[in-house]
Amino acid sequence: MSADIRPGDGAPTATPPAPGLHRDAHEHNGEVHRHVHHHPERAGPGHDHGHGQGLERLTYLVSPIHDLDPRAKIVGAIVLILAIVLSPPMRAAEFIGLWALLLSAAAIGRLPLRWVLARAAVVLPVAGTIALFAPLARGGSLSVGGVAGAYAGGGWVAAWAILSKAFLAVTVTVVLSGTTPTSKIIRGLESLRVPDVFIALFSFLYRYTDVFRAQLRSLRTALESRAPSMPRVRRWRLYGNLAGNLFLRAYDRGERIHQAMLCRGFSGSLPTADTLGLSAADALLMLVVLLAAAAVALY
Amino acid sequence: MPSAALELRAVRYSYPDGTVALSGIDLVVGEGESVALLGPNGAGKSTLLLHLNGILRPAEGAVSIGGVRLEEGTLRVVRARVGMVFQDPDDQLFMTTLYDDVAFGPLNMGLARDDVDARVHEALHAVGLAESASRPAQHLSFGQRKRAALATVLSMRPGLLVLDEPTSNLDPRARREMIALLDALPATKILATHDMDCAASLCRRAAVIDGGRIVADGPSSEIMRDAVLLEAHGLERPTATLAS
Ligand SMILES: Nc1ncnc2c1ncn2[C@@H]1O[C@H](COP(=O)(O)OP(=O)(O)OP(=O)(O)O)[C@@H](O)[C@H]1O
Ligand SMILES: [Mg+2]
Repeated sequence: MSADIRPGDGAPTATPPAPGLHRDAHEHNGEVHRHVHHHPERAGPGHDHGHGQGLERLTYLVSPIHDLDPRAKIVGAIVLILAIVLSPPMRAAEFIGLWALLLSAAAIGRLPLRWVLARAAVVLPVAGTIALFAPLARGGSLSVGGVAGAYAGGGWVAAWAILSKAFLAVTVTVVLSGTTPTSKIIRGLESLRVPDVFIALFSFLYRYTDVFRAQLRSLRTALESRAPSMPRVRRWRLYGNLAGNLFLRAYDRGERIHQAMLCRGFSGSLPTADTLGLSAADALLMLVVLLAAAAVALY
Repeated sequence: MPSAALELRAVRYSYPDGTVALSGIDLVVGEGESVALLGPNGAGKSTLLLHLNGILRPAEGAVSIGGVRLEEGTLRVVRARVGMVFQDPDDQLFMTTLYDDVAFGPLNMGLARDDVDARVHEALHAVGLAESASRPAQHLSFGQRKRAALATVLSMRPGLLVLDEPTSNLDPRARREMIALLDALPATKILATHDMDCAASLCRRAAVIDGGRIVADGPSSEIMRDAVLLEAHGLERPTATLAS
């Protein structure tokens, strides 16, 4: 989908565009966007077109980070995450350095800081719970003396490592997904030779999550309305059936989607209209990422 | 005589579980005709439609589209000519944005990107969704998704449009819009429906199918006046005809 990936053509065009589909940057509700959009016969100011809200909207913004080749961003993200995960527990300077790097990428990409923090913080409850067990695992105990005691010292380092690494790694994916439309991520994975099966899986996951959630909701409503007061054990057993039912529906759905794809000439790979091209900016990104990874790994 | 848009000869089909769904269907539809396929639930309408581009293959009998006999070697040609719109638009909109979905067929046909863009634009315009090109399908209303599903096959410029219940689950306004939209399309149409008003206003000809057989085939106006026939096959007269 969406635009050519050409760095430098971020400014909206001045001449009124011809009617039809366009891929250039344009102003929309006070923001500069770039994505496939439509101009009616009389293209005036305030022409109306819709697109995804929330996360998708941010991916339509125009910035140097958005302009980067999705392949460079995907590989960069993987390298960074590997460096973060595989390095020994981070010192404060490393953490702050990486965090500053990610935040400046987010800022250049026009992602609101609060949005990035909120998204990244999602991982904290899970990582926090795991981290809490780290001091105990090293021979500490739940008593105050145990948690604060000498034995637990190494455990607190492990806890910090888990928390800081999880937070940074998730921030990397937040910046990637906030500045890259899903269809471009898919296109990037495709040209990185990720097998078609995984790409189809990924794009269907994106498309059908809501559909399945709605189906699950309606099944649960049906269940609750027919059995409002049921002992918990029986209810859980029913949820088992419900999962089976959902699986069958998903299977049927898959079969019908496959039929619909065949009808339109599908022959094995998902076609997209995006063209990719690496530029100097992408090389720069890779350099920054490699330096950061090396710094974390070797420091 | 020019070859028919669609020709089924003694088509029989059973599902793998043994259910006999079609037991000898003969149907010829000429270029430019619009035919309504009427019948109760389980009559075999959807099964018949799935034969029109080779998703299902007849156990016996033959299917020809525009004079081309449907077989392994002709699948691609036939599928490029037949536009199949499924009942549930969520089955048809499987890409991440509306643009990608409508471009799916043309890209598979190997067209250049400019041609693809032009076709996507034309198709989205025809269904009134051009301004939503970059929206993901899950953000569209049901009526919009139903029209979007139609656009995904219009972009392939099909000569034969095959529609399974094009007006089901639409609210009255969306339903009227869909009927007007289909009426404006010049392609040959065959549509399965329970919506008698839709059938009456779109199709001059109607075929009643029940138990996997065609039990009546003729001008819509006559079929829809035949209360005994309709009653016998679980159908009812369109309200528009009743009023007049
Ligand atoms: N996948 C399947 N496996 C087995 N039997 C099936 C399958 N799909 C349909 N059938 C059976 O084939 C017969 C014809 O079904 P079909 O879906 O063609 O009916 P229909 O006329 O489209 O009905 P409706 O108006 O409910 O859509 C029915 O008896 C149905 O139960
Ligand atoms: Mg059906």
